[in-house]
Amino acid sequence: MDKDYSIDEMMCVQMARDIEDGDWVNHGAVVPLAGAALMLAKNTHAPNLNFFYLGTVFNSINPSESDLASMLIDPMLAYTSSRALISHHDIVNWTARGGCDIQFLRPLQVDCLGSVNVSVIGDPEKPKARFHGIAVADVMITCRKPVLYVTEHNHRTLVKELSFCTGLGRTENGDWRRRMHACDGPFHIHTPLCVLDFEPVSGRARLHRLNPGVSVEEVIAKTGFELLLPDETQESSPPTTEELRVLREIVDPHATRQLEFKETRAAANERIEQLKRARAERA
Amino acid sequence: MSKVVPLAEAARSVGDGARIAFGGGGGMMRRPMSFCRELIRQGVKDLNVFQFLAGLETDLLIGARAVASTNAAYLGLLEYGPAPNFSRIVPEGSFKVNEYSEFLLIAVLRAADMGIPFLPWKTPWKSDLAKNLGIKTIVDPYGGGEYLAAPACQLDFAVIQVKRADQDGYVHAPDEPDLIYDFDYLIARAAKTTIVCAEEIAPVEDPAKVALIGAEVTYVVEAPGGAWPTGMHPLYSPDIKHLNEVYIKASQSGDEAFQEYLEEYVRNSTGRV
Repeated sequence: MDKDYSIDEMMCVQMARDIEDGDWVNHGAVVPLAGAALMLAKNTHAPNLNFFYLGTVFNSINPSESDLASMLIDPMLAYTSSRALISHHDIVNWTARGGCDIQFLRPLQVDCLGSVNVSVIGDPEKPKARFHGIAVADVMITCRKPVLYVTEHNHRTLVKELSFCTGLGRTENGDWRRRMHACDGPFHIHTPLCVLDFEPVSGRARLHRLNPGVSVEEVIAKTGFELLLPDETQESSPPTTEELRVLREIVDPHATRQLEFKETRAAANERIEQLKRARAERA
Repeated sequence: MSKVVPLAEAARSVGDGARIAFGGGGGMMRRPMSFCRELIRQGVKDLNVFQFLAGLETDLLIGARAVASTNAAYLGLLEYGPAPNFSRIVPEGSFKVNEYSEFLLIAVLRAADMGIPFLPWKTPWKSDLAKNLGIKTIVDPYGGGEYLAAPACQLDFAVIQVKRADQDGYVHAPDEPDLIYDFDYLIARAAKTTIVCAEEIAPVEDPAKVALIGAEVTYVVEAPGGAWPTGMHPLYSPDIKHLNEVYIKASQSGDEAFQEYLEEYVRNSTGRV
């Protein structure tokens, strides 16, 4: 059976559904799939969400411009359409004292407790590549529901052992986190195959919902760590007609979310470049 | 008394091995590039560079083999891609990468800003970041919880590029507070020596628009165009053509090509400081 939605749309919709109306969302730079999920939620079931938008030029609160591509090519929109510009000190303090409900994070590697590596590819002593996690390590502690996602589901992304721990995941019984008045840890892991949650006592990742057409066996085979299985397997409900309409027509008509997927990255980049050129010609 | 000195004199105060923080924000904005070029011309070595979002300034110094360690929550050019010299040279292991988390870097600077030895802080608990930086813990004497003790960041120098400062070191606040503009003032207050590179030296006429007071500034350097090839809003935009077609190309072609870049655009630079 042909599906009438793509994998980026499926993931985006599942991620958007993690946001509840009234939540505060911190949105980082250069993660358009997360941005599309945020804007989709805001324009469907969560109109009262508030968010911090880390633009490329401005730190802003609740910019009203909802077309992600426009925000990418014209950073001034994060200023002119926002309710407020906010200093970085204030947003760090706001988050540190518990103001942020959700932030989406895309790690290089995640283990069975949801601890993440966003720093090193290869041996940390002799890295093949080196990155910086910016606030990932902070968000894993301070945000109420850090939501993890990977755009490839395989043994390289969902690993038995991290080569470097940038940010802490769940802890057994949540003891340490309770003592620290920290959040419980990551809430979900979204992948192109399924959604994982965490068993509360052991803190270990568990299959939560399968995407339609995906088998438990496929998920187990492609997951590098031992996965807990639920008593009964559930299936994620596919995007609704309304969710697809909002996503395709209002929130992300140029599909910037596809920048985060290997298969579609080059084409998405070319679309954004074309928009930039068109804007430069108009100016 | 005037704090204005020539660029070369201010840069001469920076010795080998200094702990030096640079200002700037966004992918390619407000970076004190002419100051970094002068450091390279003077042959300064083994710098320990501190930045919140480290970018082109740090990448240039890495390419000039002037860096002993990077200390940052991010190192790259954000929407303009990875930092090319950093990416090329990091596998050599010729400088140390000390990764901070965003909140931790701000905490260690705040501790220095407040004149206290450390700040109790929550993040990044139980991460390799905290372990590698040797961050110790402390018990909350009131509530009993255990916190990281974020040690005050001892900075020898802070260097920022601003639109306008007066000769006494009073710095004009930006018309539009862009990304992490306030980080510049935090490093300025935390460092022993603070160098302000100003696009223009002119009075700050409105006392309500002062971002740093003269007492917080050691030297003022007149540096028009000093952020190039990064931008200085609203005076000039980042020079993305130079970045993509000259800088990144040279860096990606290897060490020899980048040394030629340094010869042309830094050591023998005519026209641009």
